[in-house]
Amino acid sequence: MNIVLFVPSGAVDSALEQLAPDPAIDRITVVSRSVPDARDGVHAIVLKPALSALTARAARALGGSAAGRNLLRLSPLDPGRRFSGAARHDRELRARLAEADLIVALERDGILAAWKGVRRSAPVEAKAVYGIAAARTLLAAARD
Amino acid sequence: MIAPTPTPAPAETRPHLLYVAWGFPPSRGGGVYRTWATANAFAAAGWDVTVLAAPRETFTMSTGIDESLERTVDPSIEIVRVPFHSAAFESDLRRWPRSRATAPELWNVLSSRRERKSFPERTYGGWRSALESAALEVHDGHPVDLVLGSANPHVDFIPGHVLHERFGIPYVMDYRDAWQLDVFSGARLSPEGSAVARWERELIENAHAVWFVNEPILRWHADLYPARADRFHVVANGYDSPPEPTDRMPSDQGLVFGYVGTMSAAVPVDRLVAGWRLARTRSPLLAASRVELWGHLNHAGIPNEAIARQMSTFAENGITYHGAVAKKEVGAVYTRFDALLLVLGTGRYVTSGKVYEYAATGLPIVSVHDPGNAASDVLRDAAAWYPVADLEPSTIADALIDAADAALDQTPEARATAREWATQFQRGRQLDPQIAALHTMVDDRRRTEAAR
Repeated sequence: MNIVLFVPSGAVDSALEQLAPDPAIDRITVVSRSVPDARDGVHAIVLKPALSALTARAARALGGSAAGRNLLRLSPLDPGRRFSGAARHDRELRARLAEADLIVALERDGILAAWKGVRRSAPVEAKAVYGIAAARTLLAAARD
Repeated sequence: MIAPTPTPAPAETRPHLLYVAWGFPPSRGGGVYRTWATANAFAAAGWDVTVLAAPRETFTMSTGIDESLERTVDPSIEIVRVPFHSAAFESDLRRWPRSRATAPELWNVLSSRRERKSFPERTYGGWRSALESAALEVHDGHPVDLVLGSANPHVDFIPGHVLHERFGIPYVMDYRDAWQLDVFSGARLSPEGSAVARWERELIENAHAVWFVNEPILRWHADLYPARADRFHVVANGYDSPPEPTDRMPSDQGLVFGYVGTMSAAVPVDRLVAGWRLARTRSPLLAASRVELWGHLNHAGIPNEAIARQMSTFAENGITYHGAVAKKEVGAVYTRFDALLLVLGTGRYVTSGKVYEYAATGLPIVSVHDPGNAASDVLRDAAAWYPVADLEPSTIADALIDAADAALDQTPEARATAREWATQFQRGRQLDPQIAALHTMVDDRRRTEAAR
């Protein structure tokens, strides 16, 4: 199966342990903001959302409180939106999505990028889910 | 657990319990051990038990499952899977509207308003009508003698309410947590006169009994409902079977500290990491030691943001995350450790379920939580307990160093003594007297009705 995981933090090691992909038949693509913590048998696409110094400072300031974080989430500075924006322009990711059987958002900030990727680039029969439990279930069902 | 003496009885005289537990196995969510143990204990005590629970798919597609726990449900228990639909548990991204993908937190708030129309409970309120129908159908086919609802979710109290209103059947409310009380902050969550307050008052007014997991939560409710306080009981959590004894000998070349449990956003993993880092600079033994974290990262199967941030620092600090552990494997996991880390959210109403299992290992325990937590009451007399006065890194580091020394010095005899002390926390010691009392109550009701 071609599996694309949206994991902005790059902390994918535990998820891969749970998914237990078969290197002979599964191709894993990890989409993140930083180099993933697991690289064996994984193709990494590292996205770098563009952010000016001023907006980066504003985002850091808002992230310091619960109210600020909620405000941030509704603004264009929301990390999920910025990650999605970076994903939109990545040709390699679009190619991977076009061949995907399963697309998984493993973190909140990966949801929008995965959601848009499914609509824009993935085959209609590709499954798309949020969370490791759903991904495990679908993977197990596909192997049965 | 102490095995209750089986009560062989002809089927027509066996009491019938309708047990309502949304999160029944194979759920691996919070509180599932209590629901599993409660249903099994009633069955072992000679009751016919029917469970109303959410469908398996709810858990396979959201929180994840523990099939090893499901396999140990008493085979005599009938499980009725009641259809459950909630947007919060929809994991198929193709079904998500753009507004949800763009702003999931805001979308959840707006969505929860719709779900609270039939019952004032976010995410679960919409289950009410399906539960009512299921309860009536079960009672029609096999008359129910007692309903026991396990909350949360609090909509689990609905079948008891319905069968009591229509047929006078007694019901028991089992609070694994609290409805109106924030167990972390101690604040009241619903003002007097709110829908939640009205529902809870009515439910408690008519309940045969109400169970709470610790004394502080019971007292809070007794203050709110003094006229019904005589029906309140503490039915604490406990351990189900003692973790495997180990002949592991701690080594001065390095120890293994273990944490087993769900790492929700309330669990101060950041404080633990800060204290651990400092301890490693102060103690050569700690510098050579490791921490193993076992359990789910958050209740919903999605790592919370706080833990995701911390994980990038784990490797450099000798901390490893090992993922979830199935119920049947928990005992073996404890044999890997020389000391345990009890890391809990702050709140004087917080006990946790794992504190009892920790105690049952006999290993030294470092408490990384507010000293006022109810969990402190459980461990106060433990032989090798290392609490902290506050959650400052320096304080936590001192406790870790003390516990490391204690782990090195602990003899097999001392550990055996600690395990013996903890037998008071077997879950059966909590449940069995309550079940026996309920059996007597049901028998008395039957005799009274037969005499009419």
